Amino acid sequence: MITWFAIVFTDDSTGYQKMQDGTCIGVYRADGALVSPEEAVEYTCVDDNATPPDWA
Amino acid sequence: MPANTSPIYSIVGATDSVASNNSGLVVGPTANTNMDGTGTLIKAFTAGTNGSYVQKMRFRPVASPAATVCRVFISSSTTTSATATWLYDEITLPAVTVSQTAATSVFELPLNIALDPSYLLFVTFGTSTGGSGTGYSIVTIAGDY
Repeated sequence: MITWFAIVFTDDSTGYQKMQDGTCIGVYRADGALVSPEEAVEYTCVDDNATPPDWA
Repeated sequence: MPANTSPIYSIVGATDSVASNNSGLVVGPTANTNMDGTGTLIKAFTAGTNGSYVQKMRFRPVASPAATVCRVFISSSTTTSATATWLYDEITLPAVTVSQTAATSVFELPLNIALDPSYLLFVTFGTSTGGSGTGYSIVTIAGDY
């Protein structure tokens, strides 16, 4: 089952952590840009049952 | 001529936790993908003034955390930086569903290292484990020399 975490990056921008059955399958910026696993980022989940983004 | 031919043992237990170092927070909701010791790190343990023997870290799920990886860093300074803080080990933490009728899985990372005096252990998470209060209680089992 696909679910979405709403996240906030340390620069106060927002994004999403896409989950499938409890495992992260992608981290995205608010505009839908995928964050590479090699990219260094920090973020905090603020809603672990968020509404899916429009671009999903 | 060897400097020390006799084994030494810790003199007192030095159990510590991320909760005691971070105002009782359950850790995991905040992810930090930096692997060079930069960014926000969560303090888990501080070695004693004569050093400490660190046996293991124990990860107990709180609520129902999502899968993630926990990274353990050794740091020579409370001011973490890429030069003073070194990635030491990682542990895979699977998704866990809490139960009120059965014990949830607990995960242990064996360390078995002698830590230099006042050195520190920090942890980070590769992805978020969920909302506030959903994550891990991490306890470090050690003894001070």
